[in-house]
Amino acid sequence: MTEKPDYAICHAYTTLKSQDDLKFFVQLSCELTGFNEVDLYGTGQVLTYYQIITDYLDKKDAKLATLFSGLSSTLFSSQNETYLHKLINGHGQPAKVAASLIKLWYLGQWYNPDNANDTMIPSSQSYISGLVWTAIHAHPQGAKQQGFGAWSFPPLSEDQGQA
Amino acid sequence: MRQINHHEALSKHYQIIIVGSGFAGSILAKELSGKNYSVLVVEAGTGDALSFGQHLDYVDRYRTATIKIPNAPFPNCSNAPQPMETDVEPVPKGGVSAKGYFVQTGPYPFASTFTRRVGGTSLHWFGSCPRMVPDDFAMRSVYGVAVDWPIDYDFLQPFYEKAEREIGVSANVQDQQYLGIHFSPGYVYPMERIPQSYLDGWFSKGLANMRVDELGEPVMVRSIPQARNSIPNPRFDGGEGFTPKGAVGDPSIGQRCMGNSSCLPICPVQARYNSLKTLQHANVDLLTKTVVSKLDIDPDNGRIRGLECKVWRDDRSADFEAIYLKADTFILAANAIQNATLLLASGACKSSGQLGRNLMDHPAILSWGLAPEAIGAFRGPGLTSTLVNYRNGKFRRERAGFVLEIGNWGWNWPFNDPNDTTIRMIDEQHAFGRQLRDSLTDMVPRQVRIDMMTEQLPSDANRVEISPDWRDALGNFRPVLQYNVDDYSKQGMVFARDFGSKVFKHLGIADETTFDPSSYGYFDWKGNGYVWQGVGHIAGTHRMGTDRHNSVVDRWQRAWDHENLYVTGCGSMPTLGTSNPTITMAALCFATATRF
Repeated sequence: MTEKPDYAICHAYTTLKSQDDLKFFVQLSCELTGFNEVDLYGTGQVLTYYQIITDYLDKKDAKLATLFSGLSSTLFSSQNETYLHKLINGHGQPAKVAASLIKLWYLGQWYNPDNANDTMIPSSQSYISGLVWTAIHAHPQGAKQQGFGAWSFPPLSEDQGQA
Repeated sequence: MRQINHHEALSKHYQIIIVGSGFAGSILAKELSGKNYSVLVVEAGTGDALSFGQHLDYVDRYRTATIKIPNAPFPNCSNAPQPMETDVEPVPKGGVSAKGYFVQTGPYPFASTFTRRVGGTSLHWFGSCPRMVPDDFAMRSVYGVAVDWPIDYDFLQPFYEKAEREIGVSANVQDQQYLGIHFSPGYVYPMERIPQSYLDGWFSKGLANMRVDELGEPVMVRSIPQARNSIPNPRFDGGEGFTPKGAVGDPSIGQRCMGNSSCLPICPVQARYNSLKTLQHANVDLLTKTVVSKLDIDPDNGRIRGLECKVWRDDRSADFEAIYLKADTFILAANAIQNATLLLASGACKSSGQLGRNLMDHPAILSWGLAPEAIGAFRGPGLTSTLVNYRNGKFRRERAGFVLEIGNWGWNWPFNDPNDTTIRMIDEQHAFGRQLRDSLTDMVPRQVRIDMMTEQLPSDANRVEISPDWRDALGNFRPVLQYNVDDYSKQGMVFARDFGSKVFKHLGIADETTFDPSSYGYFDWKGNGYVWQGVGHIAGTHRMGTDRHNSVVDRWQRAWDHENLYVTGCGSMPTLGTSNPTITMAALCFATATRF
């Protein structure tokens, strides 16, 4: 087993290329996940995930802003949706990177875009912050306990869930 | 409890040595030390019995494990190795599968695992505590199959009560009075039943008018007794009440189940019982990282003179110090497979020829599907209710009984959900953004999984053996397993699967079940394919009986061949019924304690 870096102690501030770079990462993440900036920053994982994706791309001499250069700065526009839909349905590097980035946000688990068996969960906190738990109106198993007997309450309706 | 080193252990005389610190070992440690015996508990694995920090490390390991199997929180030690689910694979015809701790010779692999660490497998059990039904103890007399126990339900009844108190079981007596299960007058469980899940209620409502064809009776969906803390029952113990036991090392937490939805493998607040809650209050010494290799038997009288042990220090090295531990009486409580392996390695318990045989589990067949509306999957304890009609009935002459478990965690079993569904949506449907989020919101809360946990009868051919060819890092024998699932169980599962389909149809659940021919538990029945899976109920390798010719131990779990040796745990169970075996095994240990 290879030693994984301690992403809980994140060095992204020191490796941060520029605020624009980070801004782009967050916007792309919003488009790919369907969650907004407040949701994503609320996970506490933005810098960790930024570092993971940057580490990966650096080795390939690639840049996120180049891979997704067609993204406009308007959040959640139909133009962006069409653009990403096309990229993600393609077979190029952006499709693989996007898929790994979506999984990272949803599951708190990094899958190497070049080898899905090379995978890791950076920290407890990233597992707990997986967006999938919010999407399915549950809570991460083994964390964020809902309280005695909460499981006997009716599940959230879709309307409540999206409020 | 005091954790000591082997120098101190060697300098003292103990009346009793207990091998193993799981359910059986801890209960006996507490009971016997309570009777003023001097007791040493010897544990092969490592661990700090009283450390809450260590527990938090386990929780962290669980959260960051990419495959969340039952042993995920508990690291394997090469010097006291443990089986892992990830090592289970089909056994090649005529060959062996030996990539894990078990050496599997087939035809099927034995699919269940245990933990070798302070606390044993109590660290990762589910906590389901149903009693056995009375007919389970008399399968030969009542149904003409398998064997009878040397004891009956009524013998065990008072010991069930002791076990329910020690383990801290939450249930309501009126829910549990079915198929002959009965209680002493005025008995109440220590705590009120755990609230049933929304899904349980949805099942009960939806099945209210469904009849069980063959039996002509309404379906019975019952709350299952659970070893997780609930509201204490003030009427318990003649009005004395009950105080729930919180976490070891931090008892202020875990006084109630808080809905962490991860009972197995680990309850973060320890509202679910583990044996360290019992061991901590036992006035005993505990010696860890000490693997018993052999019992030293006096050839003249069969008494056990001592234990040959290997004390290891560091998992990265196979260096050990050989020590010899003496006592008046010895109790093996190391799990059905480890007990049998050690006894075989010692040339012990030979009279009956039954040692190592009759290895059992509950092969389970699953059905999964999508409910027409959200039923709240992935919330609460993993199992809060079961459908119990088929736990007993005349049909058991021909085919196995089963209990239908209503899973609260969607397709977490047999898949690694919600991960697998998410990954499939991303990789196969290329979903992203709002569409991905909405698809997950729509689908996952509708996931339903039931499993039909089926009885397996004892068989000579299902056995634990040892071979000089297969040893672990310290040179101790690895269990060599031969395992099959017979037609009695298969027929039960085929019926159960069909019944499960009827339940789904009645509830409007779209059945999504498929059985993969490459699965280790695949079988064909009249042209249709099915898959069974192991559920971790390892039993039967040193069964109890009426004499030294038909059994390894007597009703008190004392070895027929060695008067100062007790062999305890699920291995003593002659048959397994459809009950999760821990509560019965705990009751057997309370019975054993009365002999001292």
